[in-house]
Amino acid sequence: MKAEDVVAWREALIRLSDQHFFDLMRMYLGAIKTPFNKQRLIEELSSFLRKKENQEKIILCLDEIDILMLAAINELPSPTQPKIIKLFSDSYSFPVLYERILNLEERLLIYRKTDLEGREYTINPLLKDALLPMLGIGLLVPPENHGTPLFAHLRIDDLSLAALYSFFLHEGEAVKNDGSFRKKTLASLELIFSQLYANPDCFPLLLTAFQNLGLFVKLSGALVPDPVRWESFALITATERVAYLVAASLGRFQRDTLQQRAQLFLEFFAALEPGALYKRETLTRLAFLLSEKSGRAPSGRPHGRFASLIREQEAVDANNPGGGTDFAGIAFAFGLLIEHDGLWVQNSAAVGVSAREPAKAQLVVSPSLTVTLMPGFSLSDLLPLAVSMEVRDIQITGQFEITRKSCAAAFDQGATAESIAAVFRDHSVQTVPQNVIFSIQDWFRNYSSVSLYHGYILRVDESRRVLFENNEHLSSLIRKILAPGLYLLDVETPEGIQEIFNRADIDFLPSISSPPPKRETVALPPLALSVPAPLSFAHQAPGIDEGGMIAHQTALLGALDSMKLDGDLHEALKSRIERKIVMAASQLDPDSVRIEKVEARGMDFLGKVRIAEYALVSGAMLELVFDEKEGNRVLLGRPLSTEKHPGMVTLKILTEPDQVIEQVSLGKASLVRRIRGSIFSEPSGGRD
Amino acid sequence: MPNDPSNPLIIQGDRSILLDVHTARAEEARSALIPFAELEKSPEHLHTYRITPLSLWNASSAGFIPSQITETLNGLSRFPLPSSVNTWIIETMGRFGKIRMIPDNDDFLFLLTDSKMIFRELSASKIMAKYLVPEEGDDLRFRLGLLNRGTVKQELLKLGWPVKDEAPLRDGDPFEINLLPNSRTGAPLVIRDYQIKAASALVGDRGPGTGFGTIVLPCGAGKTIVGMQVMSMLKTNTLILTTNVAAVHQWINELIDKTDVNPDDIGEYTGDCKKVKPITVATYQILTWRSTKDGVFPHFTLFRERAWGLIIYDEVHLLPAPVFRVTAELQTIRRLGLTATLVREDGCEGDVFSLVGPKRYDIPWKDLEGQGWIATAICTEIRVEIASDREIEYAVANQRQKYRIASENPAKIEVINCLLEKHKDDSVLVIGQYIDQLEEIAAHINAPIITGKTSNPERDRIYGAFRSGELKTIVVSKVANFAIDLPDASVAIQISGTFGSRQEEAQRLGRILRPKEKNSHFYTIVTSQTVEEEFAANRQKFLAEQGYEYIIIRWEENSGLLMSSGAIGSDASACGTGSVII
Repeated sequence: MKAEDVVAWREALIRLSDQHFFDLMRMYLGAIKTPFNKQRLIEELSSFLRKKENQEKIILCLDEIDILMLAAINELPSPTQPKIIKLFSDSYSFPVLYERILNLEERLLIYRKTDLEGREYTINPLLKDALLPMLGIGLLVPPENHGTPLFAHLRIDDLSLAALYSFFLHEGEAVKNDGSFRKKTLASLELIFSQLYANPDCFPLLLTAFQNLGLFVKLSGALVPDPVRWESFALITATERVAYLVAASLGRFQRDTLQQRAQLFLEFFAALEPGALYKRETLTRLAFLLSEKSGRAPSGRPHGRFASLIREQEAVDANNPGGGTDFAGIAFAFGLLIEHDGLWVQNSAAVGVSAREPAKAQLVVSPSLTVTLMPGFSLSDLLPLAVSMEVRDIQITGQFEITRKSCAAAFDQGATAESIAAVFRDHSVQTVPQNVIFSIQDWFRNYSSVSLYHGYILRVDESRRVLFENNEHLSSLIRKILAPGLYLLDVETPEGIQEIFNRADIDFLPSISSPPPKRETVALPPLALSVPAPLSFAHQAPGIDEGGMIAHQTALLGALDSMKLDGDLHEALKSRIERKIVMAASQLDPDSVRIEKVEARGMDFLGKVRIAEYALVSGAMLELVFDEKEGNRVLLGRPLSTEKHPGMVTLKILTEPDQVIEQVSLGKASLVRRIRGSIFSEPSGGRD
Repeated sequence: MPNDPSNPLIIQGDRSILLDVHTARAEEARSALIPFAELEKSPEHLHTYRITPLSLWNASSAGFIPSQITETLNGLSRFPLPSSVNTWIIETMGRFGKIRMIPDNDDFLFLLTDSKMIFRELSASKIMAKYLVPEEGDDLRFRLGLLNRGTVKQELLKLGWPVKDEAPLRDGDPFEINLLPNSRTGAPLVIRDYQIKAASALVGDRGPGTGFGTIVLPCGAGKTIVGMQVMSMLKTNTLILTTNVAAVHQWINELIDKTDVNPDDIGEYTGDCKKVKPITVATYQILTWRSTKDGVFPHFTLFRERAWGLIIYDEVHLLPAPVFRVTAELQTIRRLGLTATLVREDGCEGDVFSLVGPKRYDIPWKDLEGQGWIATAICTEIRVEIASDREIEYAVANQRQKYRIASENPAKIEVINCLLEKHKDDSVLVIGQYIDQLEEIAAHINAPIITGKTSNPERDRIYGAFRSGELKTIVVSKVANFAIDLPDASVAIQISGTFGSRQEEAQRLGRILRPKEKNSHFYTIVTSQTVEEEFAANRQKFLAEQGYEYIIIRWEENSGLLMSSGAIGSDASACGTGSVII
C-alpha cells in the first residue's frame, strides 16, 4: 500500500459532496453526531477498512461481475466509466454495468479519482493488497474451452497476395464508374480466389486494406498495382504483412497510427492460447483492452491539408461501431481465426509463419504453359513470377498460365525473354519445357520489333521544317527523324534546348509535355515482433466463496429480522445488506437510515410525477416502463425537464446509452423508478 | 501443422488432388486414389485427380465408407486435409443409398426413400414430376416407367441425389464367345494386365452397381481387346456401335481374328449391309439416319431387335445426341463406353458418365508409354512464315477467314517435302482439314487421298495398301481421325485442323501410337504470327496434360529448320534446305 495512494483516496472522499460523504459515513459508521469533522470520520472509515475481519467480509462478498469489473479497473489505463461499460458491453446491459460501478463505489472497493472526462475510477488503496491476487488480465478474456490446436490452410498468404497482384496487373478495366467491379471481373475473382470468397467479408476487407496501403490505386476504371510499393511490402515479414493488412482494413491511417495498430494486432494474436476456444465478445474485449493499454496517442503528427484529411478519416473510423479494433472479426474473415462449435480458435497455420524454416519453393512448368506454384514462396520471389503469368486458380498451390499478354506486361516493366526464363529456371525443379522458352522468346522478338526511344521529341509544322532542318544550330539537335516533322533530340535537359534555341535566335521554347512525377515509396517499417506470450489463465480463477457469502448475508438478514423494525426501515437496511454494504451487524443502525420513496406504479400519477421531479432536481437516473403491444418498452436515462399540460405531464429524458432525447407521458408509464442502487447514483440530495 | 513434407499428395479446398509423381510413395498414392478420385491430368511431374460426388458415390457403391477415404488422404497428404473437404466427403457420401430403385413389374420401377425430407424435395421438383408418380398409400415411394430409368437417374444426379439402382440388369440371350490363345494369324494373343483390370472393373461381381461404365485408355492401347475381353466374360448377345464403316470392318476383322466366334454369327449393320446377328457391329451414323429432319429414327429398332446383353459404345466421346436419348432408355442392358479422349468441346462429358456409366478405369498415357504398350511419340510444332502473296489477304480477312488462310498457307508444302524426305522409310500420314489443300498436297507429293467422298471399298483398298507397306504415304481428311487402326504408321504430319479441338489433336496422334520398334513422330505445321498459333496451343492442351511435350521449331525459308535449344538467344542447330535436324 503506497502512502500517496491513501492520501489520494482520502482527498477524493473530501471532494465528495456533503450529501454523498455523510450518507457514506452513516452506512459504515452509523449515526453521526455533531459537530462533524470530516477528517476524523475518514480516519474512522480507514480503521474500519483496515480491520482484517472487515476486509475478509468485503472479499467474501465479491461475485464474478465484481471481480471482472475490478480486474478491468486494475488493467485499463485511466479506467473511465464509458471505457468500463464499453469493455463489457457485449456481455452485460448498460443498466447492469452502470449500477454495478456505482455499487462498487459505495462498497468502497473503488473510488472516483476525478469526475471529469467520464469519471475515472481506481481501486481503493486500503483494499488493493487484498484484491490484487484475485485480479489479472486473463480474467477478462477467458477461453470457454481448451482443445487441440486446429489447422486450416491460410486464406491470406503470400501466394494469394501475389496472385491478386497478378490478377489486377493483367485484368485491365475491372471497375465500373460507381466503384464496383465489372461483372466479368467479379466472376473471375470468385472463380480464381474461391478461398477468399469462402468468407464474404474477406475480399472486401482485403481490397480496402490494399487501397489504404497504396498497393492498389484506382485509375480510370482499372485497379492498378503500384509495383514499387509492392516491392517494399515484400521486404517485411509475412507476419508483418498480415498485421498491416488487418490494420489497414480498419481504415485509412497515418503511418504511425497504422504501425501502432499493426503492432497491436500482433499482440492481440499472440495473446491467444493455442487450441483455446473463445467467444467472439471475449476476443473483442481483448482487442479493446490491448488497444487501451497500448496508449494510441501518436506524437509529432504531420501538419498540412492532407494530414488533416487523414485525421478526419481516422476519427470517423474510430467512431465506427465495431470498427477501430475489430481485430477478431477481421482475423476471422482472413482465416487467422477459425470457428469450432460456435467458438473461435486460433488457426495454428497462422502462428509463427515468419519464424518457420522457409520451405524449398518450387514451381512446375507444364508444356501447356501452365505453371503450378507450390507453397513456400516468399512474396519477393513471387512478384517477378506474378508479373509474367496470369492467375487461373488459387488453392494451397497456385495455378498460373504464361500468356502472350502477361509476358507483354513483364516486357513493359523492363523484363526480357531471358530474364523471364531465368526466373522460371531458378525455381523449377525440372527442366522448363522447350516450347515454353520458345514461346517467350518468340513473343519477345515480336515485342522488340517495335522500337522505344527515350529523350525529347520535337514536333515542327510543315511550314517551318525547312528552316529547322537547315539551320546549323537547330539541325545539330536532331538525333533521329522519326517521321516528317517529328524529331528525337540529342540533348539531355530543357536548358540545353533553350541554349541552342537562343543561339539560333529563336526565343520561343514550347513547354514540355511530360508524365506526372513518380511517387517515392517509403517501405513499411518492421514491427516489434517481441510480442508477449499467450495470456495465462490457470492461476487467475477467481476465488469466489459463494456459500460463504450467502451464509454471511443470511446471518445479517437474521440479525435484521430480530431487530423488529418497521417496514420502511427494514427494507432500507435489507437493501444495504443485499448491496453488500453491511459487513457487520453493528452497521445495521436504524438511525443511519432516511426513508424515501423511489418508485411509483400504474394509477399513482402524482407519485410518478414527484419521483420524476425529484430525479430532475437531484440529477438521478430514471427508469420508465411502458406497456405496449409488442411488450414492455423500457427507457433509461437522465430527466431533462417536465412539462405540465391539461390532464397530463410529459417528461423529456436523455436516454442511456443511446444519448437520444425522448419526450414521454408520465401518465402512460406503468412504472417510474428512480435508479437508486447506490448513493452515488445521484450527484447530490439523495436519501437512503 | 504440416504433415510429412515428403508425402505425395496435396489436397486442396476445391477437392482437387495433386500427386507429385517424383515422390517415393507416388505409386502407393495412385493406387489408393483410384477407387474414389478421377484422374484429370497426368503431365510429366504433377498429376491432378479430383474427388467428385460421382466418384464418391461409386466408392460408396463399392463398399467404401467416409472414414476410410479421409484416413487414406490424411496418411498420404503433405498438408493437413482441409476440414471443408473432410466435411464434404462425409456429407456427400451420406447421400448415397438414401434413394433406391427397385423393380415393380416388366414396365415399371419403384423409387424408394426413407426420408420424408427427400420425398418432399422430389415431389416438389417440376422436372421430376414428369417422370415420378407418388404411390398412393405409401408416402415415401414413387413409381416410374422402365424407359425413364436412365433419365430419372441423370436428373436426380443433377439434384445431388445418387440412386442406388437395385433393379437387376438384363442378361440378354446367352452367346458363347472366348478369346483365342493365338490369333488366327498365328501371333500369340496376350491380354495385358491393364486390359484385364479394365474389363474386370466394368464387369465387377455382376451385382447391383456393376456392368456399366466407361473405360479410358490411350489410342493404340488396345481398347478393342478390352471390349472383347468383356464380351468373353459376359458371354451374351452384343451390339457394338462405332464411328464409321472402316471401323466396323476393323471390329469384325478383330473379332474373327482373336475370338472363337463363327464369322457367320457376326453381323454388319451399316448403310451398305444390314445383318443382325448375335454380335452386330453398327455405325452411329446409320442409327441416327432419318428420311426427314423431324422424322423418326427407323434404325433405332436395332436396339430391340435382339435381347442384347451388352452394348459397346466405341469412341463414346462421339456419342450423338439422339443416341444419348435412346441410351437413357436402355438402362437395363450392360453398357461399355470406350474412349481415349473423354473431352467434348460441347462439355457433355457428364452426360456420357451418367448415361453410359461412370469412368471405371483410366491410366496415364505416359505410364503405358513407359511400359512399352504404346509408342513413344515425339511431338513437334513447326512454325512457318505466311507466304508473301497471302500477307495482304490475311491482314484484311475476318477471324474465321484468317484461320483458314493461315491453315492453307502454301509455304507449308516445302516443309512437308522436307519431312517426307527425312522420313522416306517410314509410313507417313498427312492429315488435314480442308479438302482443297489436301488434294493439292496429294497431287504435289503424288500420294493417294482419303476424304469423306472416297467410297468405302476405295478406303479399304488404300488403308490395306498402307498397312501392307505397299504405300508409304497417304493423305487423309478428318475421316481418319478416329477408330482407324494403322499399325505401322509412325509419322503424322498435321497441316490443318478443326480450330482448337483438343480431342482431334489427341486422336490424330493416336493413329501413330501402336507400339513399334522405333519412335513415332507427330508434326504440326503452323503459320507463325497468325491466329493458327493460338488455336494450335489450345489443341495441344489435352496432350500436354497427358505429359506430351511439344518441341517448337522455326522454319527458315533459306536455311531449312532452326531449332531452339531452349536457351534464349542461341539457336543451336540449323540445317540446309531440305534437311532436318531434330
